[in-house]
Amino acid sequence: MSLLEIRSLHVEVEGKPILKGLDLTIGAGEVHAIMGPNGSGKSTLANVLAGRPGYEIVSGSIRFGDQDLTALEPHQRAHAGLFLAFQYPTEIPGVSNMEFLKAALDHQHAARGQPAMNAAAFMKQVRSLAASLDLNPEFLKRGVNEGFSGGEKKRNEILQMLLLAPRLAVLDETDSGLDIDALQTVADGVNRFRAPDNAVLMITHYQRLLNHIVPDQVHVLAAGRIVRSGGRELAEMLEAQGYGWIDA
Amino acid sequence: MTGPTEGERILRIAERAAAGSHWLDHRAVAERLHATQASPVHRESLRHTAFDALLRIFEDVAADATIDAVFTGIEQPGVFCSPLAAVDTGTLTGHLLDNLPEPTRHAGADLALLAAPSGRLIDVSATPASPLHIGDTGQGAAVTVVRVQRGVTAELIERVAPTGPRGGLLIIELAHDATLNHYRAVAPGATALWLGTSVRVAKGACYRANLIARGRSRARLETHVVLAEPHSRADLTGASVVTDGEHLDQPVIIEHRAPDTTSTQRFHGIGAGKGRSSFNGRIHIHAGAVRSDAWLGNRNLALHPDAEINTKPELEIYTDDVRCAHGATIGQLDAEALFLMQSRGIPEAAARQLLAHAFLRACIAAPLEAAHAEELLGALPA
Ligand SMILES: Nc1ncnc2c1ncn2[C@@H]1O[C@H](COP(=O)(O)OP(=O)(O)OP(=O)(O)O)[C@@H](O)[C@H]1O
Ligand SMILES: [Mg+2]
Repeated sequence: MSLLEIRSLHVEVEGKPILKGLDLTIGAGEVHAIMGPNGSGKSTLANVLAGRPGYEIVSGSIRFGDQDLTALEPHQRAHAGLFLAFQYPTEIPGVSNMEFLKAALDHQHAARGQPAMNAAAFMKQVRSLAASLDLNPEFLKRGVNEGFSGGEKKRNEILQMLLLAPRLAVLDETDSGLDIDALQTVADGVNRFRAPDNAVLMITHYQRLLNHIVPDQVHVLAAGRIVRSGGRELAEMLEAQGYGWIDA
Repeated sequence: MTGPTEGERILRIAERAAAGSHWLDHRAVAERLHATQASPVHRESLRHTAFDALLRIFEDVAADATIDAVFTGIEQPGVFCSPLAAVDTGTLTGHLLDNLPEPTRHAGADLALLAAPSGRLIDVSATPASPLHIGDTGQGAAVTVVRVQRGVTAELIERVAPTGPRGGLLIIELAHDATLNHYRAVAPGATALWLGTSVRVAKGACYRANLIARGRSRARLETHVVLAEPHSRADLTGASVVTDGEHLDQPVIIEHRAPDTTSTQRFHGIGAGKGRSSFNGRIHIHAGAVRSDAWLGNRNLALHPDAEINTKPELEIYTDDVRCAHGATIGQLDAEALFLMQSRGIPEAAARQLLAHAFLRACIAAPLEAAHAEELLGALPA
């Protein structure tokens, strides 16, 4: 059974059609990449999956495992195993990273009927994840993303992904704004995450990410629909030719 | 049928208290208070707590004045406590009145002086090893003068218990280079409350306050700081929650009367239910108080559709060479932050709690956090 199955999805934002009949199927163990011009609807897709208010599904369906994803509240989607790494991570001054991560993990564990992780084990795990992503442990005491650089915010998203261990991770331009070393670090994190029972959907503008995280499929999203799907070679073609050929 | 006039009511409050003791020249205070009645400033300063409401608080207070002072930490070297009655009445009256600035804005302080059966003086002449605690039980009015002598650093923790009605006036005098860290927690309670804190800061001295409060059936908490001499400073922070049926009116006045003085005010308030709260931050920079630096930030969250919140910074500046910045906002929880939390599996209600807690805790200092933060946090919507 596929992990994510999107059928003929139509989405409006403020009354304006953005996604216009999008189909996408992702199976367990797979990595998919979505590329496409600015404004084509990539982040809209990510936000619709996560359940952000203001994104209205006009028609179509989204199944996540055996559930109708659209029937779930945003937090229930997380409990079901969906994770979105944001293109522009928000700052939450005053709520420390540690406190935030613990609350998230505790709620997810509780929802799945798992025992809460004790504080010491939790701290240990978070510290080791931070170290693996070259994030200074001091960041954990600060407010969520508060005063983080662009690259630090992106690494913090990956930290959250690794901690929460979702079934499907949607990464919205997690590679944007990263220097070469940070890109490698983040890619290593994603590769460590990959497993037969989970999947990754990467939104990116750059073929270089796909050198680090090799996708099973590449899709081109344009004007609200997937207009082409293929293997890695599709990404290379885009890199060489741009999106001009799509309208033709 | 017409009731007694305001003047008659003032006199009655004074007579009732004066019958018990003669620690103060009540007539002088009553006359001063009466003289301010016609002033438009007086009326405007009572916009959110009408003078009638103030009189009613002190009528209740004076009717049953059984207040007992509870002090701890005063039995230590460098701290001396004595009844104000031990001080010569005339001298004392003059001194108290002179130290309550701008009488037109101080109707409450004058009423507190009239209603209080007695007062006490805490004199701190050497840096105490442990904090001073003050609190009151019973109900009534109390006047406390805290004097911190030259170069001394002291910590004062003030607890306002849930019982009442009460009216408390705290007068703080900081001598050269003295520092006072003042923490105050006002417990929730059904009864009316008036509290006034009047601070005079001398050269190089520093007053720091962290004031946290819940609303009451009626509550007015006045803070008045005079930066009287050069290089004096005041840093005030505060957090408050007002919920169903509660009222909280917090006027803060900072007067920069001398050059090179600095003040900051950071107050966070939450309207958690159908109640009324107001914060008036007033910065008054007098002529000649050059290089004054004043900052005021008052942020409010309306977490309930029927929460009524007023905030009004007031600046009065009579010198060119100053720095003065202020901001006052009334808003909602940050939708982006809420969504981020939800997308990580935190249900909306819990996410709201986390954000509201963070908002308040930003203005709750460590000495109040452990024992009293819950009185605020516990009043937030579940
Ligand atoms: N909240 C919103 N309000 C109004 N318009 C929106 C909103 N969100 C998205 N849009 C519009 O929807 C279209 C698609 O935006 P989206 O963010 O999905 O594009 P994208 O493919 O992620 O682009 P980029 O590559 O620049 O990140 C754009 O025209 C955008 O302006
Ligand atoms: Mg985008």
